[in-house]
Amino acid sequence: MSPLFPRPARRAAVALIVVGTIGSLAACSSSSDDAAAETDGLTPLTLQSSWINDAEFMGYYIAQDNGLYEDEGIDLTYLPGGPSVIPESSLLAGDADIAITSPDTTISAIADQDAPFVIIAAQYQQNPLGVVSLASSGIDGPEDLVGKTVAVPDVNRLAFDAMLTINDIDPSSVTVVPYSYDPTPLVKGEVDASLDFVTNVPFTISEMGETASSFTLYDAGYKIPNDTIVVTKDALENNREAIAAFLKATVAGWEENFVDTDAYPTKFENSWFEGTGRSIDNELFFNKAQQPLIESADGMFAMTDDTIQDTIDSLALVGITATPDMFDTSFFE
Amino acid sequence: MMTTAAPRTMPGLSRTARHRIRVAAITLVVLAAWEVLGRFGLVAGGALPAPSAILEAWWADWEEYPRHILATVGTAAAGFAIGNGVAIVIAIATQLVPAIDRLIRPLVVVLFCLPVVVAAPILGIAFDDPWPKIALAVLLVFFPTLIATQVGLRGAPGDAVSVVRSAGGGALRALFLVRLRAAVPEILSGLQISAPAAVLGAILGEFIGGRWGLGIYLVGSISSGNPAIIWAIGLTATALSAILYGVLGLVRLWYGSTEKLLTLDLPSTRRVAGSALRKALERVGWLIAGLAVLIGAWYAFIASTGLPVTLMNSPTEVFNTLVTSDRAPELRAELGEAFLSSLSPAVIGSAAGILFAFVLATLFATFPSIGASAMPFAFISQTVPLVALAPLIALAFGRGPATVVAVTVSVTFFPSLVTIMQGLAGAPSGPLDVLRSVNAGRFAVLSKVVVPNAVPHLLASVRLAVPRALTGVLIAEQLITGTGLGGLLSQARGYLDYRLMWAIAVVVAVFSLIVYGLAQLAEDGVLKRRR
Repeated sequence: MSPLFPRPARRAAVALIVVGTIGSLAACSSSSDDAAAETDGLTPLTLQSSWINDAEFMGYYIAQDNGLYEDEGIDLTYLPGGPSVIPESSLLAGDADIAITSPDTTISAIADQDAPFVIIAAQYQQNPLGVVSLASSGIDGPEDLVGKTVAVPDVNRLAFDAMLTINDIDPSSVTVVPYSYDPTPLVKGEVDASLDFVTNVPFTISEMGETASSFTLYDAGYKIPNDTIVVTKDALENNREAIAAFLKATVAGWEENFVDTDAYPTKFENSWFEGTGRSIDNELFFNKAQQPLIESADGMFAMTDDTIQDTIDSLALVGITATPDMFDTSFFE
Repeated sequence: MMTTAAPRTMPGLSRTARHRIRVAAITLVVLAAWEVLGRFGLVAGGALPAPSAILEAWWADWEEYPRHILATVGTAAAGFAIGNGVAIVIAIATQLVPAIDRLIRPLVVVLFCLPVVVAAPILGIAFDDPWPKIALAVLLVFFPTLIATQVGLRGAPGDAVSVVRSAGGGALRALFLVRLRAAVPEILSGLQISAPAAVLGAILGEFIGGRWGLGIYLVGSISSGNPAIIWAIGLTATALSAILYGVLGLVRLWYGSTEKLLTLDLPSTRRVAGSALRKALERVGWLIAGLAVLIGAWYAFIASTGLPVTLMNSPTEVFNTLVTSDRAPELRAELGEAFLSSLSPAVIGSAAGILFAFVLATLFATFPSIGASAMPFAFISQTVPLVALAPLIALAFGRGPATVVAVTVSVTFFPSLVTIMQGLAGAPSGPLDVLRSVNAGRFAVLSKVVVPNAVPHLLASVRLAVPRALTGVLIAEQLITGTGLGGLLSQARGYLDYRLMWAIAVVVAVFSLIVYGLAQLAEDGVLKRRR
């Protein structure tokens, strides 16, 4: 675990808190699994994911099931995310060593609040986030959004505003409402478009008997990657080998996934995808659609100088100052 | 109005049997109406599914449920046990040593009113799994039971308490011989309010991450865009809490039939000797002490987590953010504007919420059959997380201020409803019999005996509802309109602006404390006048 915040001290301290009201509760929090120290010579690493289990994280599941992490000397603990999970917070809290994040949020935290993060890799070389609408609505590009109502998740508000600004559209000319990934308001016409993964929600829309059209933020000029792999500066210095091993095994997992995108989602029906409330057909669609966004001529997960420069330029337009030292490309050199 | 559901006279049937038939009939009528609305897609363009479609969806996926239910029940049960246990112990402690009450009250109110969306990520990093989830359930459960137990302990029959005390019994003996026994109905109603709160807390806690639980299942299913599936999960949660509520109700009935309370006198207000000035000064003194405890607990919590200030802002940090930092003026302007736009729905929402609870409670007291049949529907609003219902609400009612008010009412009315119902049910039997013997009508009974007797409960219900109003507004704004403080909170989350998140939490806390204080002042004033 992160040496920045020694866990035993933290646990003992946590046990003392919230006098009176939830005191009895805090006392119990000191008793969980701290014994996960190095077993079998493997280095334990914890990965904080950003969402519940779905095809977005295929490569990590495959690398775990096929023993790819063990082969690299890593004992990986995978923490699923959820609506109330802020992956970067898990890094700061020392609950995870590595986090899967949205780069704009991460960079905003580094730039504006001196958060000690470094971005070391990018799962999606091209961001799958896009503006999804019904084909009948005729929304084909950013300029069609003026005067429209768009449902945007909290975490992507920044990206959406940035995309509009890049295209010389005043963000205040578009009505933004909250979005929790339910496509119903879009299909019923209560909103004109949603900001969602173009690799995912068009499937559901077609299941609901409509045809979706979409354009990605990336294609609209907001050229930043997504699902960036982030560690703390401290971990980068002190845990470099393990992180390198993690990246190597992860890339191998994704390579295995793309040998045949139909193979693994079905295989995971009764393990990783059991009881998620999502259909395997949906995961199959997702997995196929994401392949071109992850694969790249420069190698999966690698960030090129161009990628970094594009990110810096895109964020500069919305007043976020990204600098090259927020990225570390050395793992892929 | 009930004659439509069942004939007024049903010779040969006992009172309870007639009641049950009426409840069943009303429930069936409501379900039939819902079925028609759902089948023909009459609400929100078909976003409200018919009960039969929900049942179908549930049946199709039933194999998925057991593991999720087990996880949620485990969390909810732990939260229910810990939250209520601590609440009852603290209520007893405050009865014995009233100073404790005044010292911890600000802390307790703030913990109860902390928006879940702020509290959840903080708990998520402060504790290790599964404690963040349980902690969230505890936070939602704790306060209503504390208030209910205190109302019950204070409402003990004065005669009996003085008998024990004149026989040489101390406060402790009076507590265990009389007060605790007299408070059982109120404690049980507190536990009943907690039942849906514990389940909701567990589900919201599951949004912090994990693999199993109805909350996780819900998040995955929301993206399927199938309202029947979402409702099936939501109603499963509702059923879980309704079962717990029902069991507690049976316990209450059983207890009510074995224990005959003599009379229920009014809670004694604290008698402070001396001039008005001295009383005012004393109040201020206690307030300062209470705030000191709150701020001390805050510092202690931050220090104990050992987490960096980027994440965990202490009062000093928040002060810097709002007063001394470079962005302070801009932030204050932003916060001020957002607060003002959230204020009016909060005020209207809390007033409407209490009125709604009072009208419902009197309606239920007058026509018990309607009450019994409406309760399950009231539960839906208490256990299904708003994130699941938000699209339906937006489709049916739009994304304007009226929707925000409606959501605020739905978030705040339930504890008030149960508390007022408890008050109405506790009417002294003597005067009731007198009125009944002269064939007084339902409303005469209600206005002359039942309602006046319930005034302390009504006032307590105000204290339960009002401080959470802004929290309710925040939820609606965050999930439906994207405006006001809730919208600002979403934005803070998107930009990973922890400082702004903390500042918003402080604004909510200060608002809650002020309105709670006002409600308390009003309560003391009214109760004093009644003595």
